[in-house]
Amino acid sequence: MNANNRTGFVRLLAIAGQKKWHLIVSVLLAGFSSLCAMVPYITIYLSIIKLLDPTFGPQDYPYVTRLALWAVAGVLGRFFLLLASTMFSHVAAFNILYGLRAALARHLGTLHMGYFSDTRSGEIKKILMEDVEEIEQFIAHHVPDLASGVVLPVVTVACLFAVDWRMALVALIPLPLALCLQYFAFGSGDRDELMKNYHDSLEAMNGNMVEYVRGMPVVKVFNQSVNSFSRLKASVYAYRDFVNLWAEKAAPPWAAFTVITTSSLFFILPAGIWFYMKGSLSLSTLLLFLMMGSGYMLPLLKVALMGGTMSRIMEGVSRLDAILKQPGIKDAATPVLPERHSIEFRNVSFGYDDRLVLRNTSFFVEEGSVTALVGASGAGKSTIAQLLLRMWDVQDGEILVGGVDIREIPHERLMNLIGFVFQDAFMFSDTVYENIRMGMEGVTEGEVVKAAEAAQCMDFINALPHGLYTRIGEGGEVHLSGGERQRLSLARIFLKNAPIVILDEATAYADAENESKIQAAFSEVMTGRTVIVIAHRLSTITDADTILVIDDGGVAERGHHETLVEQGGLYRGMWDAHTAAKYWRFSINGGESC
Amino acid sequence: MLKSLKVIAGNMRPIYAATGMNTLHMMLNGAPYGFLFVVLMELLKPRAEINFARIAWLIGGMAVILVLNICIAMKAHTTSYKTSYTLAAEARLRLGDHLRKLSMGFFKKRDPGDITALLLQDMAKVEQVFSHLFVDALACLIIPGIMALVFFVADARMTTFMVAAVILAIPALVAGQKIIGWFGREHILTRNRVSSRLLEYLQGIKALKAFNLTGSRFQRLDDVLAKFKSDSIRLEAAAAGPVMVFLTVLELGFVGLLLLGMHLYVHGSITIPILMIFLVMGYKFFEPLSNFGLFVSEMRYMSLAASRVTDVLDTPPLPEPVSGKVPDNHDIAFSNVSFGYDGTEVLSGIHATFPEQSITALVGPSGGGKTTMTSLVSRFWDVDSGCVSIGGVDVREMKTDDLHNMISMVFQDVYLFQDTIFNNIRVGKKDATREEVMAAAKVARCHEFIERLEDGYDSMVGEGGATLSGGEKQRISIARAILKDAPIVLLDEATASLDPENEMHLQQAIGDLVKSKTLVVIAHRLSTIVHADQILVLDKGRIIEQGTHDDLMTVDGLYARLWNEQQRTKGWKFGAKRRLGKTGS
Repeated sequence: MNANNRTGFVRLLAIAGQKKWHLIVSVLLAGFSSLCAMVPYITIYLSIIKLLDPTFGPQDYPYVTRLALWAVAGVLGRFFLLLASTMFSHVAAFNILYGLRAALARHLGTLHMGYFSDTRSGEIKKILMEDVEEIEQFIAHHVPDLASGVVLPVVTVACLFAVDWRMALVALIPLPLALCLQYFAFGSGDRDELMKNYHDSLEAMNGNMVEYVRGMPVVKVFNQSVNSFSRLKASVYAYRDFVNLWAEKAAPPWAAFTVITTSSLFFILPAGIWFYMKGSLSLSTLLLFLMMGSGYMLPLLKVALMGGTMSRIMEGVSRLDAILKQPGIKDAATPVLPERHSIEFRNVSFGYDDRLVLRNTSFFVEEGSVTALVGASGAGKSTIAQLLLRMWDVQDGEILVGGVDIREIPHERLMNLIGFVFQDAFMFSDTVYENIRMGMEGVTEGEVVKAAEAAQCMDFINALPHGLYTRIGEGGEVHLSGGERQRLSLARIFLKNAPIVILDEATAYADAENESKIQAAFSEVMTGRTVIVIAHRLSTITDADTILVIDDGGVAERGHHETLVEQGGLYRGMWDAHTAAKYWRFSINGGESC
Repeated sequence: MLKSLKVIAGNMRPIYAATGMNTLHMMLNGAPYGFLFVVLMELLKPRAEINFARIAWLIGGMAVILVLNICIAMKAHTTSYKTSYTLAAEARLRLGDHLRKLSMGFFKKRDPGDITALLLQDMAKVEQVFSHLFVDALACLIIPGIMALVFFVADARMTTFMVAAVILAIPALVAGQKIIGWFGREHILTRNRVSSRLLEYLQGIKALKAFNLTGSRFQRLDDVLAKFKSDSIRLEAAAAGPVMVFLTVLELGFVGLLLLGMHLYVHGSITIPILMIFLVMGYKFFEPLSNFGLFVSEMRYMSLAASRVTDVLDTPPLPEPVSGKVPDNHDIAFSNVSFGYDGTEVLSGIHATFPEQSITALVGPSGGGKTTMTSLVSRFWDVDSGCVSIGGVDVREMKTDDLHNMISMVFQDVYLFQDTIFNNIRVGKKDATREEVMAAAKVARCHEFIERLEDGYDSMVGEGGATLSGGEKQRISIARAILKDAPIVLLDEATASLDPENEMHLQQAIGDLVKSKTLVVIAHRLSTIVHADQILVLDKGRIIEQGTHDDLMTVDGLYARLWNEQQRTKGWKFGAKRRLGKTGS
């Protein structure tokens, strides 16, 4: 999907153009269907002429029967063609929607994490679900409607002109009136602004609803009723008020428009009677005009009403284009594959928005060594790990793996090199098996079990109702504890078998009864790999090959535990606080007990 | 279909008012044809008998109606939109509030994507039904109804034929309704699965990125998107067929009317003016009925969404007492409590008391029922048997709001809203001043890092707390609980992601705070709870040991075993094995 610079209607057409042939067929079928729709009227007109003829008698029966058969054929043809047209346009539409959604999802996958911390999932969901769905309106309905909306009036008007040009002109009077009003109803200048507000209020409501549902335990225990969860209430009302305002604004021209379009009778009747009285119009022709003079306006009405939904659709398209235009992570033109697995940060600077988190940071991690990052929260430890994964790109300097700038390593390759255990191990609502496999192809069950064993997961997996095939995650059968989730995320790493492993505060959830098992799992993970540990429990990293003390966006101290303690710097301070804290415990009397 | 709409709207009167207005508009739309009827009667008389003054009057009347109709249409348009969107807004809030009162079991069984779809997509469908479909469909019946009456006076046989054609077409419509009901349900289910998968994709994007699973390689999202595509096509194909048959039968009825008219004319039993009127105006009879078929089909699909909403509204909330009792102390007591999720028992026959002004620690293997016990205190669920009471009052006899006002809770999984840090802490106390918020933050040891942020307390937090580290989130949620200053404090692994320094200070602070409170702590690190007044050891849903640390150590049971194991592994280190390997070689 190329998100080019085309906007509005042109862009919409470009989207529809992906299934050009389906739509051309659909339009042709819709056009023919409209032609068929004319047939019954023509036959009625012809039979009225016959009926009003004083010579009408049994000799005319075959003629009238033939006309009736034509009418039946017309009706059948009309709806059969309409059905076919509808199917073609819908198949095109749903295929295009699928393509758009898949393309959006794929593109979202290449975006930097910053996009996701700024944008709520509910808002993105609205664009992928609702805004994309609206395009179906255009492709499946508007395109064929446009065909019949043009064909039917043109043919009708042509027929009417052929029968009586004066009456045809009279029948056309409402058209310019309607077009003018249509412009005022939907084409006024602040329409774009209104549409923007519409989408903004809808997005806000989506975002708040998703949060409300996800944060339900907090909502409950802190008595956040819908009234006090004020953002939710405000966004629901904002949406309502917007629609109401819009309805009010559009009402006068819209009302005049609908009434005028159905009012051709009002013009045809007096003129017709006038001509009839003057003897220049036959009764059958007058009847034809009364029958058909207003019919041509209806499909036109449909086309005109598109204006309103169209601007909404186009604003939606511009929102999904905005996602597609977000610069994603690009692979280098000439990819380089690293052969070794050392890690080096060379003069790296990086910040979120304006806040610089890393300032000219440099360090080297030897292949196969264990390096611990320690420091106060907010010092930049997690940022370092995320930069290595290219969740963000550095602003200055470079990050090298095996001597190769990670921006030159194909993204997929880089991800295969690095295994990451996050603080919050995210579990997808799927089976344990799939949660370990994480989409890896060509993996046998035996390998998954082996990885689970290595991560010390098998004992709790075996206790689950369906073992490896128990559904976990949101809406799953069982809820896993933090420690269990963590061990599953270790199993993922074993299966992935990446040469570089990053552990981000991974010991946080160590369950009491499982601590030794988790330790065994961790030791196993670290053998023969380049490991970066982000730790807050200093006692766990005293054996690391190198400890980097991160402070204020840079490496303040580096070395072995013993050397750093002897140095008496920052690390020493942390270590002292840590050893004092280790023996602290909960007590009603505050800290006095220790 | 109507029933579910009624339940959602609560009060149908505004809808009826809007429908009345629209019907009036539709009738005025049709009125010129009534005039036409009279004019035609006049015109089809022999020329000499035509009363032109009368025709002039009639045309004048049409002009008046035209203007009147514009005014009515305006009013009808705004009224139906305003009523429906106002109703829907209220219904959304009502549904939202209802959700809050449901047992957490509801949320455990359903995907969050599915629940949000209720509030968003499903309610959007209901909005459409209210704003035009319902009104339009009704209006489509009223016009032909009135016409049929007038026509019946003109010619009973012709009218009977017309009505018969309509009746003949109805089976197709009914069949269509059934098919849409069938495929529509499947379609909605798939749509909600797409929402769920998508939300999961977005919320797990970090993990997906790290495993190279974004984009089309995330098979689960792609699969459900593809299924949504084929379900959509199938629904369209299945629904379009019967609707087309319905339309065809109606239109053929019109052709049949022509034939019947001619037959009657030839036999001299119908006059030309009457026949002409049927032929010219018959179209106006069938047209709204065709539209009715389309509207009703659409409404059928939308009513599926409506019934999903009403199913939830019908789910009984946790029962509320009529007049809530208020306990005078805050001792928590479990008497013979059993509880399970979906048949698997999690707690069985629990007897326990957590006295006021003391610390009770819950320990034991994961899955033992520790978190469930705290959830029962806060009434996220109701017990299956037995009773949980506070100060001697069964929690079910208290107003839920009163109960929750009594409890401060810090969860294992912290959830923060996309809002400023200030507002996230203020969740604990709606009217807290900035000073109060800061004071709580200082106690929770988060003031320092908040101040370091660019916008301090006004910094925005990503959805769910995405922009903060685990420890930071945890401290903010503790600040929230501290600000609430409730007499009962439930801490579920509240300090697990903190570094020991912060943990120490924080636990000291909590220790100070709880002197007058009932404190329940769930802890894995046993060293932090050795001084608890009582320790309950839970295993497989039962309390197997109970007492102080020293008591339990002398019992030499599960607690002592866990304790010893932790003492042994306390010194475990990253890289330990490697070192061993090195020295070994």
